[in-house]
Amino acid sequence: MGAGMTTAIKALSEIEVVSTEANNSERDVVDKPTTTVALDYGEIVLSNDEKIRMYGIPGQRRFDFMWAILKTRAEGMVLLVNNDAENPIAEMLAFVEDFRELCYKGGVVVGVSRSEIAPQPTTGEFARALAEVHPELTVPIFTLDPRSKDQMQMALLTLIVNLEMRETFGEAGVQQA
Amino acid sequence: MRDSRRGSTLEPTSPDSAAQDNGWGQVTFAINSILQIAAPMLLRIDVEGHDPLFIDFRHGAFVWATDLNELPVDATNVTFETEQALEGAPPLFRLPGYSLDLLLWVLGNNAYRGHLAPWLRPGERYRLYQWPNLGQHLHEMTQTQMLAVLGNGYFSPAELAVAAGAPVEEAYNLINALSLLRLLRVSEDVAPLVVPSAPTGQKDKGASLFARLRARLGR
Amino acid sequence: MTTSPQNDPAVVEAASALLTEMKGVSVSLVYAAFLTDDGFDVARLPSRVTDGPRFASMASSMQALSDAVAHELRIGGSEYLIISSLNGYVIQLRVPGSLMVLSALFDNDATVGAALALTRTYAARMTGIVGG
Repeated sequence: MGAGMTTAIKALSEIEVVSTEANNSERDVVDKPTTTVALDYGEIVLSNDEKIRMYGIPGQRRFDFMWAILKTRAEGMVLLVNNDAENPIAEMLAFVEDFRELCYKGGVVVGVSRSEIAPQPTTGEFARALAEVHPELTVPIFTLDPRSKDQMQMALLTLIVNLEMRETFGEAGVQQA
Repeated sequence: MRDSRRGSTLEPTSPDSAAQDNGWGQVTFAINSILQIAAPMLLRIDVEGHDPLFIDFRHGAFVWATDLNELPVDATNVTFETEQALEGAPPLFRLPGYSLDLLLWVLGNNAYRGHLAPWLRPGERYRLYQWPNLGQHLHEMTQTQMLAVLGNGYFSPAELAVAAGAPVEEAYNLINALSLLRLLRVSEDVAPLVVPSAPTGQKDKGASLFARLRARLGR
Repeated sequence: MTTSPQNDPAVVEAASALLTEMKGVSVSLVYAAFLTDDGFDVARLPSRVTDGPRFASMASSMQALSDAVAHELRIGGSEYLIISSLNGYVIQLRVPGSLMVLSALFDNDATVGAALALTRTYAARMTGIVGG
């Protein structure tokens, strides 16, 4: 919570975002007035018959039923991690475990938010922690500002090109290694 | 298989290399040499027309009055001063300074101008084991595409260029930068990657989704 | 900062008492819970078949989605939602004037109308306790 998921969807979407924000009663955990309790929805239209649908889902584990709904249907995920949280690396690792299948098909980019407030851990530390548990994964991990349309587009494009390259080279690359 | 780090001295080992003749090539070579020995070094670099560039390798930080976006510019009359930091010695400058990675990315991509860095060898193939922090580096989408390729197999610079549809000079530049950042696995033994001529993800679709979205977003 | 309902002993006690009374009124009531807008239990009936915190989270998601649909269709704020299934139905509505929701599961022995009326009554009584 507090990583900027709703803001990120708003930065990317070309339509008015459908939001499901509720009053946040955990102000002691993250001091913000509202929190997403179901999903945020946005779109980028590519053509008359093609669009990229983006669903933002809450990170709190009590909403993991929403994860279950989307992870079987999603092509990829930008995992936003709040670097100002108590243990952002542990949070990332927990999500990688929960979305293991997406990760292994190249469908995950990790966006570390609020690094301007909390510069540690660095993206290198995130990557090393991930490599200890999943040495075979090479996940794009970078700092980003969810308010920045430019940076969110970069994350989305990275996600898509990584998925496509995994689909193209992944099996051969595994055999090569 | 081994890491891209290799022992060398601060003196350029191949002074005849045209790529290394330019000033930034020398600067980059010196920095890479210090990174290879992983010593607690302090480095001062003087480039004519610029304020001194200071690097404190213990803290992975640098300071320089020159804006990195001004690179590449010709660097002439380059001189270096190195010093091993004594244990407990204060930082060379007021921390945090700037992350050394920022400098390494820019130098790596620009210093050798489309040629392989002198510490890398023809015949090697490279694979990414960790992505650079693209959030802090100015980069082109072609570089993102090459990174995604490198994350999925071992490629020579020429193979990388073909796989990503990029000029081979850009592949050399990126490999140089990633090597400098210590983000590559290197192998001389691995066989070239064999892939189907028509990637399954692009069958009957024309341009890839990446290409279509890039075009849609104007990037 | 005001105390959130789930952390306010007076609210929790009052909500528990209301649910117990509600259960006494309707034998068809299988389960019921007062929950916060963001999916925390304030009070719930004891249940062996329902994971209370999980039910609260799902109920808050449903509430938010129904609000989003009503907003999208410009039909005003959603008043209540009903999920009807083979062996029962869930009726859910906001506690008027507050950031709480009452969600109740009934078996098929009750009519939808009676169940809705009962749920409305107790949601309104909660308003009297927490203010609105």
